[in-house]
Order: sequence, then structure tokens, then C-alpha cells
Amino acid sequence: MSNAKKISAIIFFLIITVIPLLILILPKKEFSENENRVLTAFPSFTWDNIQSGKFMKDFEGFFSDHFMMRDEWIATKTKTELLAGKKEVNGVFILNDRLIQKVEDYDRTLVAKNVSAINGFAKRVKIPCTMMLVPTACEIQKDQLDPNVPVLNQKMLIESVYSRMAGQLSTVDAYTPLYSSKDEYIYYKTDHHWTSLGAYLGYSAASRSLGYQTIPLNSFDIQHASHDFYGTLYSKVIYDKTGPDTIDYYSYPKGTTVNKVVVNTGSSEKYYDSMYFREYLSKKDKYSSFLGSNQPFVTVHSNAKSGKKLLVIKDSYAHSLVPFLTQHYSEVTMADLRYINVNLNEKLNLDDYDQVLFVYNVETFAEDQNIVKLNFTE
Amino acid sequence: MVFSSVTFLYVFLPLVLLAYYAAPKQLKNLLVLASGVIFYAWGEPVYVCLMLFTTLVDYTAGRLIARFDKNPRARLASMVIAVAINLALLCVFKYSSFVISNLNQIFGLALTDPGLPLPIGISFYTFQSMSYTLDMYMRNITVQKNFINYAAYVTLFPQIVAGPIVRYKEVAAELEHRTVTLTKVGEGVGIFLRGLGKKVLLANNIGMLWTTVKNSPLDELSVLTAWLGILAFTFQIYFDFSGYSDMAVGMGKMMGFNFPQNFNYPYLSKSISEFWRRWHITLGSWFRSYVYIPMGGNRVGTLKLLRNLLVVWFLTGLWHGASWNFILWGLYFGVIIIAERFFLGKYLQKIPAALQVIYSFVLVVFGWVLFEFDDLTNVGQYFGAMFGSNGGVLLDGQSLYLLSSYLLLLIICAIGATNYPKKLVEKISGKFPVWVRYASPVFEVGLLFICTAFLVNSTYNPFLYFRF
Repeated sequence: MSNAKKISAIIFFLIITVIPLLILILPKKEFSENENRVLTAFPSFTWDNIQSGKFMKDFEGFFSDHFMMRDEWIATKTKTELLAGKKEVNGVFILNDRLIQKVEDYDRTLVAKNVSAINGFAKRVKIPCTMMLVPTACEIQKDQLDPNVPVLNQKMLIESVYSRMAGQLSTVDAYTPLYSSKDEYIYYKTDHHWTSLGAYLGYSAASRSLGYQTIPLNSFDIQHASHDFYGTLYSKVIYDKTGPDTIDYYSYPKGTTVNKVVVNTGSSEKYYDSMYFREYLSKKDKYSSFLGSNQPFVTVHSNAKSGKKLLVIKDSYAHSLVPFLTQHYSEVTMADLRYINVNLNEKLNLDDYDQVLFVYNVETFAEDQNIVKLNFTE
Repeated sequence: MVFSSVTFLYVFLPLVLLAYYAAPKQLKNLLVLASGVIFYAWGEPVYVCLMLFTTLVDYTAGRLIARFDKNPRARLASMVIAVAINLALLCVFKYSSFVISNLNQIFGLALTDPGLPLPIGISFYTFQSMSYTLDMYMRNITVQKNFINYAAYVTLFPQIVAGPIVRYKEVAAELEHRTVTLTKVGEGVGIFLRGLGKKVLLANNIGMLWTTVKNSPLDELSVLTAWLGILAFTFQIYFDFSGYSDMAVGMGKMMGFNFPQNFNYPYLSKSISEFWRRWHITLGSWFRSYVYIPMGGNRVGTLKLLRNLLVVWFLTGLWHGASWNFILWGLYFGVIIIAERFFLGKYLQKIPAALQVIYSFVLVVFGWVLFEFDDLTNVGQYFGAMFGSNGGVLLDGQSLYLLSSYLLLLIICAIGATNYPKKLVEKISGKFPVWVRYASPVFEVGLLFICTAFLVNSTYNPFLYFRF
């Protein structure tokens, strides 16, 4: 008996001493590409930090963030949970060939606040405003989920929001075209965004409200920019049986060309000559090759003859949509309220714009605490 | 700090154990004390002083009781003062909000609630430390003159925040002299890892089912959802609590201590009286030794016996949290135990053993509903849902989804709560002793790896005893 016990003791001590030593020795990253966030830094050892418990909390965050082979551990956990019969892990449904972000019930008060902020904004600016709420894969591809799974009825939420905006904004029904193409590649398998094809459907759905002539799908040239995209959902569960996603760029040879893209990060301005920031294709976060990561303002200047200017107040779903819109506007500015803490008028002149388009996916819209910042324009 | 975290497992534990093994004998208790203080201060950087103060009070009381051995009044006074300080601290930090809100409600007063946060583990370490003074007074033990040895006993990190409540006499000899062998450490590792597995793999995962149900609108629950939910909590609290106790016992063994067993397959009990002899054993025996027996126990007339039982169960309930639902939960068991003692017991013994187990299990499950909801309206709603009297359906989409997601885990939990796996291993071990012996380290390493995977990416890892 005792030999086996001795083996247990020795192996246990080897594991619990070697792992922390390796963590100590191995170089540490400051930024996790996989999770797309800054990792917790080693906390400073001060009396205040200790007394308040901040040191302890941050130390645990630091140690957990820098735990070696984090991805392998997460993958092991996911496999174990699937084996135990779970259908969702960390808020992600794991299906045979794809991952879907779970969207649950929402905070009615917050949605009401968001609606009234947008309505109030539309009333004040006296520029035609359009609202496009985009359902996520959790709604459109619901039939791939367990029929009993309790998820949010996004269609009902969209209808309810739109009915409260009636008369103030024109609204875009993105649900119907997306739903009729639900079996096409309109959402990434490993990411929570819509694909370029999904965004094309949104672009086409918005044509009537925004007043442009949709360019037919078959007029576009499609370039497969990457066949090796593993998105945010993959990062949450490290489950690779779905295979990677493809990033597609749609270009319209007969259309406009983009002269300049200006990214305003709040502290500086950067200039690009294309809407596709190809340096992201070699990184983990390949979706950001569409006009970069979320920034306060991104403005696309094109040689479109219309001379019209569009302001897009948005979440990241807009990034793959804007390339289509540039065919019809000589200037499109994306404003991300999550990164702007002042009255929009302080940063740009709202009167310059001919139209305003709100683009949000249902999940962000139902959770975003920043839309109320529109009230600053009062 | 909690045991079920990568920081504990891969930083605190290896550092402390290596230092402990390397330290010369005279320094070992000081190391136990220092590690206990750091462990406790990690979660309670301010209240650690309170714990050390409690330690000092009971240490001093012990010295005084020994000093005035021939003076009964001085002995009594030392004991009473120490116990009063212990209880006063417990009352101020744990029960003041509860008492004030009740006084305000009953007498229409407007006393302000100081709103003190509850120090983690205060009920555990206060009871542990107080037992020393009481045992000194009852002459069950001899005095500990060395403060470090005594403080090491109170601050032993394996059991400080969630038990078991170790009584001084159970470790008195080991505080002076204990041996650590590699075999014993290996045994401790096995017990510790099984406890970790209970907590991280079973309790945390089945707990997600309960959290989902508890956060649904209670008046719309279907019958099946309500039962799935409360069964999930039934298993969560058992595997969490007994997992913690196992980890404590295991780490105690790694350091040369033998802590008492705290759980003995409670869900196999054939009566509620038996359940309480198998559930949180050290708490039950604490109340028996220091409350029930000093009040006369069962060697008194019927009326006094009833009083003694109700007092003990009132206090047992109150110990679990400063809220009426815990008191009701305690009294609920008190009433059942009284019924079993006076008439129900006779009938129980006549029915098949399986039915006796079901009887006890169902009553315990009902108890958990009381335990989990502060608000008695919610308790009513939940019972309503369990019996369909809320107008709800037998089953709905939610219940089917939860059932299909958690069925396997529920079955594993149900089997794991019995002693059948243990019996099975013993049976196989009889036939293939070598095979089973060496399978055990493999199993343990596997457990450690899977637990680590769950801890590295833990989204749900609650500490259930924050109200105790």
C-alpha cells in the first residue's frame, strides 16, 4: 500500500512546484492576442493595496492570466464539459460544425433608456436617422440549437424597439433577409460577427431607408483574404473541431475608390489608404482587418459622386458593413460611443452630415451602457 | 483565500508545505501560525486582528483557569468572561444587523445598522477557540502554556474558514509532537485531491444548474425544473462542504495532523436524527458537548428535554446565518427529531430501509429550500412550484433543456453521494490488489489536471459559507 501512497505524494509535489516555477521562469506576455485583452500586471506591494485586498485580488488575476498553457487547460475543460453532456460552455453553444454565442434575456430598463436616447437624438439633430438592429446567429440559426434552449427572442426585441422608434427614425428590417439566407455563410463559425455576406444582406436591406440603389451581389469580386481565422468564440472555449473561418473582401471594380481612411484614436490620428488593414490578417484578431479595431472615430473618404456624408453610430458589426456603404457616400464616419465620453458635437459637426445610421447587433444594443451618452448632445 | 483556486494550489500550498518540511521541529508550529495568518489575511486583511484577539482571549482564559485550579469562583469567572467576549464578538460582527432590523421592526425603532461586513469563518474559529476554554473549565484537557502552539491550533489554515471544527483535545498531542511520513503525506494528497474534485468538478458544475433555476422567475417554474434545481443544490452543498472538509483533512495529514471526519454519507441516513450524526459531524458534537449535555441532555423530564432540543436546534439554525430562514431551518429539523424520538421513530423502523432513506432524503431536500431563500415568500413560491400548486406545468422547455444538459452530472452526483463507489473499489481491490493500488496515483494525477483546467478558466466558483 505504502509504495503507491509515496508515489502519490512525490508526483503531487512535483506538479505543484514545477508548474509555478515554470510560470515564474517563462517570459510573460502583457497582452493576450487570443482573448484580445491586456493581461493583469503584477500588483504593487503597498500597504494600501494589501489593506484593501486589491493586492490579493490582482495577484490572483495575474497568476491566473499568466498560467502556463492557458489554452490547453481551457480546451481540456471544454472537452470535459462536452463529455458530461453540457451543450454550452462559457456562454457559447458548441455545435458539430460551429459555435454560437448565447444571447439570453435582457434588461428592459436599459433597452428603454437606449431607445429614448436614440429617439431624443433623432429629434434634436433634424437629420434623417435610420436604425438597423442586426439579429445575431443565436436568433437566425436557432434551428441548429436544442429546441428547448432558453434564448432571447431577438425578433420580438427588434419589433418592440422599432415600434417605439416609429415616427422618429426609419428602421431597417435586417432580420428577414438574414433569416431567408440562414443556411448560407452569413455568420462566422468561430466568431460572434456577421461575415461580409451577412453584412451585404444588411447593406441591401438598408437601401430603401438610406435611399441608394443596391449593387447586385454578382457585381462584386470576392477575395478570400484569410482562410485561417479563429474568432472570439473560439477563444472562449478553445474548440477547434469547427475548423477556421474565411475572411472575404468584396470589391466592386466599377465603383468608387477609397482615397483615405482616418482613424481617430482619441489621442492621435492615423491615415490608411484602404479600408482593409491587412496587418491584422497575420494576427489573431483578423476581423479587425475591416477598418481596424473599435476606435472613437473612423472616417472613410471616397470619390463617390453623390457628395453625401453619412454618420454611422455603431458597434463592431458596422466594420464589415461600411465597405459597402462607401459606394454611395463620399464620406462615412463611424462613431463608437463606447470610446467617446463627450458631446458628439465637440468632436465633429453633426450638421455636416446628410444622414445618420445606427448599426448595432441585438446583444450589444441590449447590454450597452454607452448609448445614453447621446443625451450629451442636448 | 479559498482552496479551490490556482493561487492556493500552485503558490500558497507548495510554498507553505516546502517551508514546513524544511523547518526544524521547534519552528513548525510558528510556521503553522504564520501560514494561517497569511492565509486568513489574504481574504480578510483587517479582520485577521479580530481572529488573533479571539485567540488571545481564550489562551489567557486557559492560563487563568489552570492558575486558579483550586478557586472555583475565579475559574468560573475566567470561563464566563472569555465565553462572553467570544460570543459578543460573534454577535457584533455576525448578528448585529439582524438584531437591529428585528428590533426596529418589532418596536418601531430607528436604530442605525452599523452594516459591518461578516468576517470569513468567524463562526468556525470562534467555536473552535471557545471549545478550548470550555474544555479547560470542564477539566477535559490540560492547559497549553505556549501561545504559539495554541495560536497554531486556532489558525491552522486547512480548517480555518470552513471547518471541520477541531476540538483542542483532538489535536493536543499532535500540537506537541507529530510525525510526517511520505506515506502519510501520500494519504493526505489522496484525500485532498478527492475533496478538490468534489468541490471543483461536482459541486461547482451542478451548482450552475441551481443558480440557473434560482434566478428564473420562481412563480413560473415547472414542477420538473423546481425539483431539478433543489436536487442540484442538495448535491452542490454536500459536495462543496464535504469537499472542503476532505481538503482540510488531507492537508492536515500532509502536516501530520489527524482531523476528525466531518461527513459520513449523510444522504444515506435512515432518519433525520441519523442525518445529523452524519452531516457536519463536528458542529453537531460541539452543540451536544457544550449546550445540550450541560443543559441536562436527555436525562431530564419530557418538558425539559423538549426545551433542550429546541434550544439546540434553534442555535444550530442560527449558527448557519443571521436570518430567520436559517432559524426556521434549524427548528424544522428540531421538530422532526422530536417527532422521531417520541413516536415517528417506532413506525420508521418498521418500513423497508430504502423507504427510510427516501423519507430522510426528501425531508432534507425540503430543508434546503428553507436554507436557500432568505425571503419566506420565495420559500412559499418554490414549494408551490415543486408541487405544481403555482398553476405551473409538470415540465416545459426549460426543464427538458436543463435535464438533458445535467442528467449525466446528476447521476454521477447521486452515485457519488453514496458509499457504493467505495465499496466497488474495495471489492475490485480484493481481487486485484496491486492493480488498484497503483491505479490510485494515476487517478489522483488525472483529478489534479482536470481540476486545474476547471480552475484556470473558472467562471463559477462560489464560496458557500460566507454567511456561517
